[in-house]
Formats: sequence, C-alpha cells, structure tokens
Amino acid sequence: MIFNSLPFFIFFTIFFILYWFVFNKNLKLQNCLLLIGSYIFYSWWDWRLLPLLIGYTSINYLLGYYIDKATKPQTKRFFVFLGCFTGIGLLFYFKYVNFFITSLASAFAKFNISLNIHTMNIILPLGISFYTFRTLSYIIDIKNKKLKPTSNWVAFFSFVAFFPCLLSGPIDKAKTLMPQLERNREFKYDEAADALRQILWGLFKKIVIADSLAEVTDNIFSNYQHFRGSGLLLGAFYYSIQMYTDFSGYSDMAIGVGRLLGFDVTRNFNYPFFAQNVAEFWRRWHMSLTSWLTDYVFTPLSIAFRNYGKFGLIMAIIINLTLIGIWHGANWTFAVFGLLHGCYFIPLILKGTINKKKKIDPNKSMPTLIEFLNMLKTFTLVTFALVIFRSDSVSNAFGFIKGIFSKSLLMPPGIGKPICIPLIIVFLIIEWIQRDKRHVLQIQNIKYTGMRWGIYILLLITIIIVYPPDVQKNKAFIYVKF
Amino acid sequence: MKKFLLKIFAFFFSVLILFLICLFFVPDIRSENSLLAALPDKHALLAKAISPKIILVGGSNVSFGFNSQKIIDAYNMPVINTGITISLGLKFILDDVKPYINKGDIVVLSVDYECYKKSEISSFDGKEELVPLLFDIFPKGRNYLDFDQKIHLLHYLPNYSFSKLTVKNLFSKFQSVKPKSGYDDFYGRYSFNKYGDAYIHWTLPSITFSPEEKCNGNEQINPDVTNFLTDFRKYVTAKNATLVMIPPPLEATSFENQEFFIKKVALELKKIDLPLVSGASRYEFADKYFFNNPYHLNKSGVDKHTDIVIADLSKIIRH
Repeated sequence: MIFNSLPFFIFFTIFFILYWFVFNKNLKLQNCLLLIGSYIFYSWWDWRLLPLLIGYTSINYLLGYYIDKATKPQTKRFFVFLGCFTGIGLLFYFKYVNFFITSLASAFAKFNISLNIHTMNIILPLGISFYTFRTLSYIIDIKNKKLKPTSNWVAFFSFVAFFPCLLSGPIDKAKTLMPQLERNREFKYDEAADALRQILWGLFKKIVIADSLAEVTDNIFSNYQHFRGSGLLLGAFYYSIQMYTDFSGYSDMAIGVGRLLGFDVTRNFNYPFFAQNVAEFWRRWHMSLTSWLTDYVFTPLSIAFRNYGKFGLIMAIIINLTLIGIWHGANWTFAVFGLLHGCYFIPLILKGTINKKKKIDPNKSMPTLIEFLNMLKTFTLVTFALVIFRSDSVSNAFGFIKGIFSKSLLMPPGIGKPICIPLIIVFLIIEWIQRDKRHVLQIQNIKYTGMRWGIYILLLITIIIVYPPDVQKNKAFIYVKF
Repeated sequence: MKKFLLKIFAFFFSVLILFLICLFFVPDIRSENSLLAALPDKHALLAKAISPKIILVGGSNVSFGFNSQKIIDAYNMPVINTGITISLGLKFILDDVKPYINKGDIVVLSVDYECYKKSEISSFDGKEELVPLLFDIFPKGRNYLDFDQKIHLLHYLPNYSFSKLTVKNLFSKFQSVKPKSGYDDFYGRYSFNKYGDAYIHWTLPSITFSPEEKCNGNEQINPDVTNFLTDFRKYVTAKNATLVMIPPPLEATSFENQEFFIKKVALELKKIDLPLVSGASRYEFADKYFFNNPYHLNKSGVDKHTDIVIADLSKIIRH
C-alpha cells in the first residue's frame, strides 16, 4: 500500500473518519487506532514481517524502562549497549550480512583462497532502516536524560510503527514525536488544508516529474554503454532531479498525512538544489537522517577527535557521511557516495567556511551570478556523486563517468522525452519563487480563491493524466527499498 | 471540521463535473484516425459482404496474419479480416462480430495465448484501448459490456477523460492524416486493405523485438475464457454457421518459452470439444517471418501462414 495508490486512499479515508469522528474523545483509543492502522498498513506489504516489528518494539520498550530504572552506571551502560546491539545487529543481519559474506569471499579470492561460505536467503523487512533509527534515538535519549521513558506502551508502539513515516521516514526522533503521542490532538482547519496541499504537491512531484524522468534514467543507467556522452550527462542530471522529486515527493506526502492526523512531522527537505555549497546541501537534503546522525554520530565523534583540530573534524565528517552512504544499503556504491561527499567537505573545512550560512535573501527575485555559479557547482558535485549512488557497481559508475567525458559529449543527447527539460526548468523556477515556504503550494498570497482552486485542479488533472491506470506500470518510491 | 469536509466535497465535486464534461462532451480527436477507428470500417465491410463468407476473428495476430486475397482465390468466398488488437478484449471482439454472422458463414477464430491466462484478465475483459472506442468511436459497443467488464474498465476512465485536454489531443487535428504516398503508419486507421488485412507493414523492414517470456509453470487457464468460447460456439451453431479454431502464429523462441502453456490450452480446448483445427506447432514460425512482435507476421510470414490456414480450412470447406 503506497501513498499514491487507490488502496491507500480508501484505507486513509476510513482511518481519518474513525480517527477524528469516533475515537477523538479518548487519546488512548485514538492511539490504539493509530497503532492498529499502522500495523494494517505494514501488513499490507507482508504480514510475515509484523512479528519482527512487534518483537523489536517490545524489547526497546522494556530497555527504555530498565535504562531509566538502573542505578548503577555499568548496568545502565549494559542496557544501552543491548539496545544499540539489537538495533544495529538487526540492521546488519537483514541488510548487510550477505554483502559482508560476498565481500569477504571476494577479498580472499584475490589471494587465491577460496572460502566455502554461502550467502543467506534473507528478506529485507520494509522500513527497517527507519524504525531502528527511531528506537535507537529513544534509547540514547533516555541514557542522556533528554527523555523520560514512557509508561504508555500504546504510545510507544505507535511511535515506532507510525504509519505515515514507517516505510521511508522522515526519521522522527523520540523527543519530537513521543510527546505528540502523549497529548491530546485537535483538528485545525488551516493545518489540515495545508497538509492536503502538501500531499498534492508531493503527488505531483512523484508522478509527474520523478516517474517521467525514471522512464529515461532507468534505460540510460542500464545501458550506459550505448549512449553518447551528452546523453549520459543529461541522464545524470535527470537522475538528480528524479531522486529529489521522488524522495521529497514521498516526504511531502508522509508529512501531509501526519499533519492531517494532527502531528508535526520533521521536515526532510528544504530546497537543496539552491544550496551554495555541499555543507549547506546536507543541511537541506534528507534533513531528518542528517540531523539524526549529527546528534548520535557526528557530535560524539567530533568531541572524541577534538584534539586533532581540523583533521579531527575532517575525520568525523568523513565517517559520518560514509555512514549515511552505507545506511542506504549493502553496496560499495553507497559507501563511495558517502565517502565522496565527505571529501567534498575538506576544502570547506580548510577554508573555514563549513558553518558559514549563505542563505539567499528570500525577497530577491534573482540570484547574483556568484550565487548562481555556487548553486551550479554544488548541483554538479551532487550529480556526480549520485551517478555512483545509482549505478549497480562502482566499475559501472566509472564506466558511466568515463562515457560522459568522451568525444560524443558535444553531440546531441538523443535520449528521448525532450519534454523533460522544460518540465524541469519550470519546476525549478517555481521552487525558486517559493523557496521560503514550507512547500511550493503555499499560495495563500494569491487572493482569488478561484485561481488557487484552478491551480489545484490543474495539478490533480495532470497527475491523473500522467498516472498509469495499470498498477504494474507504477514505479515504486526509490527510498522504500532502503 | 465541517468547513474542511465541505471544501473537500466541493473540490472533488468540481473535479467530477469536469471529468464528466470531458468524457462525454470533449471530442477525442486523436482517435479519429487511430487504429481503433478502423472498427466501423470493418463493420462496413462485414455488412457489405454476402453470405456465405469467411470471417477472420481475433486480435492483432489476425490483422497482421492474413493475405485474404489468397483465401478468396482458394475458396471463392468473400473474406473479411476483423482483427484489430487483442487490447479490446476477447469478450468484446466476439460480441462485436456476432451481429454479422449469418447462415453458412465460416468464423475462423485465432486467440492469442495470453488471453487464456488467468493472470491476464485484461486480455479478456479489455484494456485501456477499449475506453476511447466505447466513448468516441463506437458508443453502441457499450451495450456489449457485462458487469465485470464495466468494473474492470472503470479505473481507466479518469485518465482517458482528462487526457482529452492534452495538447496532443487538441492539436492532433492539424497533423497530416493520410498522405497520398509514403504512408507508413502500420498502427493507423488506414493501415488496412479492402479486406481488413493490415498491409502497410508488408513493404517495411522488420523491427527487432523481444520474445515472449518463459513460462514459470504456474500459469492457469481462465475458466471464464473457455466458458465464453463454448457459448460463442453455441451462438455460431445456432446461426447455422461454422466455428473453426486455429492456433495463433507464434515466433519460434516464444513458442518454445510458452510451450508448457500452449499444450495446456490445446488440452483444455479438446476437453470442451473446441479443438484447434491442427496442432499448435504447425503455426510455429521462424523469427525471420515476424515483423515487430512474436505474433505479427511480415509479408513472407503472412503468405506462409495464409497457405497453412487455406490447407487447414480444406478440412471444413468443401470446394
């Protein structure tokens, strides 16, 4: 059941009615409904994975309680270790064990040593990267006394399985989402109306832009050997936009659904392609993951490396970004993607501009030439790294990049779907104009209701026209597989 | 909350009104010269032909599979090739031809193998191509639909209705329709000859295509298809006409990949007393006889296939 499907529409309509009309008087009952709804949503994909989610949540609920209750520091540390070990162990087993086995075997094979070990037949539970990070934040925040463990098990179980963010985030930390689950929620008209606009814009980005681009990029990345340099360059450019519109489209829908239920879900994107440098890009891209890793990995690491000056900071950032890369999955391409982004930070750290905020004045209609060139430079660096991210292997990525810098770079691209270029340009211009808003469809400044409604209807009709009626032709969200 | 619900209702109501206006009042200009627009042309051929006649029925394997002139020469009977595309659904294709079946007619039916598959319900009930046909080309065809078909086609409607607003539709009037020479649209209204055979591709070079995928062994026959065929045979017999089932022509690699299911179909048809006129392997052709997919023959394939059908029909038709 994905957000852009009829089953979800039906499910959510029923859920919304029950949530606000039947169970709205009693918080516990409302949370129970949220929990049951989340489990139904999750089971729709594969019910066999539900016991794992319930079991893992139960362990963390108990650990949270015991960490708080433990009086001796070593006992406390033991429970925290157990919590981290369970979460990271689970991730390692489901996501990385086969990768580890094959990498080990191929490393030994280079020395002509044959290891007689086999990969395991493991199904990757959906959303595991997201819900483990959510529970880890709970355990660590209790240990750091930033959060009190909850005695309300329904609220905790709902927090872990919170269906709007279960499959692909945003990764809400316990300290932001748990308090919202423990207090009464009221329906606010303005919030709900804006949430619907955000969902509509998310749908538009996913279906009209991302899925249209996917048709081109899937072909280019699968058969890059047959494309000209210019076609590959344009394909790489398309993929950056596809990745952004796909994931931010999903995030907009998730946040919108959360807002309809009265929750303030963490923002995940803030117009990253207008960033002036890579450091700013990461403050605007997949913000919930960056924020999570900053709190629980980067900050402790930079404290540990503080005696090494700039070198320590470089190390902390490289480790942090490599972990972001590896978090996406078991492939060297993700590790290289993260490592490369880490390397992008080195000049910024050496120049001392890493924390310099270069926010462009929201009232400015046009960027200056320098600002524009900075944006272009950042976008190019990001696109280059995303080629590695998207490729099946590192050698394919290098083949792709080598292909770009061939003689055919100056020839016409010949990759089809020329409509994509004006579509992207219009999209980026609209994003630029609305860049100080939470999402693009915050158009209350247009005074005429009819005109605003006209825009909403036009967007909806475009979505319907582009959306393939055959379910098999629908493209899944990129981040669902992570 | 009341205000919120009222506004949502008003929004969706506006969209619904717009949807209905587009569906019923905005013309589908694209369809006017599309492949689907050939249906009324073929109806005209059927109405004009004097019985006893030979009616070739099926999807694109039929339209791309025959040189009707050869059959006319062999049996001295009028021949009408009614094949357009299997996307219209087997149910609709058979219901559509029924009013034109008269005493003494020979109905030669060739059904793509995918139609028999339980997993390919769209090939039986109809795919999205059926929608423009029913709303803009042949509205009378809506009377043929049963409840299952209507439900099945429902989810194609919003997309179809609003797609009439696209530039592609609104400006297709300005596109050239049928140049006097060099017309090479083999999927258009004018890609058929006077018997209904697709013939534009006869002079075009073949296009590379992928064969049908290998069977996984779990393919099931849709009992609704065999029941429907049985009823169709009863209808044809009641009209004092004859139904002849022939295997569809299939490219060799696809045949090999689909052999498990092809055998299953032959067995099932035999069980319901609707046997194919000859073994399916007789209709397996080498790759060089195909044009752009495993069911579409090129000119040499068409001639070879027509010769085989003529030979097989001799078992039924007395000279």
